[in-house]
Amino acid sequence: MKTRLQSPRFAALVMVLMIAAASVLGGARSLHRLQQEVYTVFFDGADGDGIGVFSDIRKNRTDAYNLLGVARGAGLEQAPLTALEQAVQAVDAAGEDPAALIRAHSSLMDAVRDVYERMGSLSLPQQDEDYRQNLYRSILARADTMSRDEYNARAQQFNRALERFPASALRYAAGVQTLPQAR
Amino acid sequence: MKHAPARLCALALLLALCAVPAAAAPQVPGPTSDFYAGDFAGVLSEQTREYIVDQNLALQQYGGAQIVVVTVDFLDGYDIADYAVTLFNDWEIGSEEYNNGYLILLAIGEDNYYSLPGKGLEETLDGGTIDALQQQYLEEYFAAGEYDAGVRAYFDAVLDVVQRSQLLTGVSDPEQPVRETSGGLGLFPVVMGLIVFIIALAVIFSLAGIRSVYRPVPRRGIFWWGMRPRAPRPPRPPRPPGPSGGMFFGGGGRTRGGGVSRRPGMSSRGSFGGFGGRSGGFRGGGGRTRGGGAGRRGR
Repeated sequence: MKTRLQSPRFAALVMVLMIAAASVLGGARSLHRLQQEVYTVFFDGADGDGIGVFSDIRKNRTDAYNLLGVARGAGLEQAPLTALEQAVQAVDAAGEDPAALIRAHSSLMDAVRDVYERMGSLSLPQQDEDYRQNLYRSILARADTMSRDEYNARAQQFNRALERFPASALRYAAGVQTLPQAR
Repeated sequence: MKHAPARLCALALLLALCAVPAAAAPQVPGPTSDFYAGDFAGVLSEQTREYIVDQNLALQQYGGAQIVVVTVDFLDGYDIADYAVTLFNDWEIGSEEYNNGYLILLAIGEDNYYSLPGKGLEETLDGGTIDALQQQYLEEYFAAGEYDAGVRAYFDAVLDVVQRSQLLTGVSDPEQPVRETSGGLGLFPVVMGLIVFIIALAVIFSLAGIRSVYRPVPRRGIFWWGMRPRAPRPPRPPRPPGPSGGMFFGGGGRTRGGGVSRRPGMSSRGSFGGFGGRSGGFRGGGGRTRGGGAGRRGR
């Protein structure tokens, strides 16, 4: 054993293994750091002022919930109401997981659109019609800002970097996934 | 086999060349010399254009807010929202500091319109509010082809909202007199002069030395050689603020948006903004939008 430890070949092998391990760990750490930078844009906005995709999703969740209330009061059938309610709950359940939030928001948009269009076939009092339009247009406008947010460009850049070597090899060891687009 | 790497490189290059390029941004017109009224479709009267410009000049005291009206005939196949966002950011509508710009875009030949707030006005003018304003002040005129009247009514409504929002957020206070910067001294030269004066006094005292700090002090008619030092003469106190309103001009203590007043060729002069003559050459203030506007219903 002592002679083995003193062997230059053994030392070289240990050195190579250590270098390899350091490269993998360092690369994984870099990937996580890059991913975190993109997540920061998701949560804090490109200007770091808290106005970004996350804040837009939260506001759309609120407006969708309000639209649900108006639709219930207008006597819309139950199925689209249930779908919208579940979509709102899904956004809540997504917490602060960006990928889950984006998926949940996409379902929310579908449910909102469905309720909006079905309400259009009802004869609503003017106040309810104003609410219907106001809430829906606000939701649409925020979906538009989300689709143009800096987060999308950064996520795309990150995903492209993941496809290149050595990131493409390291990502599986690091457990890093591609980032979804908020479009 | 030995040519395999070269072939692979050639294949990769070929694939790269064949790659579909990303969609290009819309080609939008550049701003006119009036800037605030870009009537490329020729549907606005001269009175309305002048009115829009004059109201925007008055709006400068509200943190450099800008409301720009642009009419075009066609969008050249682009989505109106994309067109509006590109135009807004190209023209840099609103101040850089507050992003308080607003764009009203009419595409006459496409029977469509779209309005877009800067990032700083998103809360006040969200999609629902914009839609409601458009429905109330613009849609009826637009449907009837009365574009000039519609723009005028809608512009006034938006102007009111923007002014109130800028007041509420404390960006600016129009009650403060807007200082004409074409003549007279601003505060900065006065402060600098005072600092120079104090420094000069300090230098003079240090160069001259403390002379005759001890002098006979008469005490009830008898000289007192008590070595009591004579206190140096205190410096003159600073002048009280002038009648223009204290420490700040115009904007009431807030930094004026970088916006319109800082750029060369702008109608407003000086670092604190203010009114200038209507001589054209206006520009955007560096404002940006994230999108999030609203267009005509049913489009």
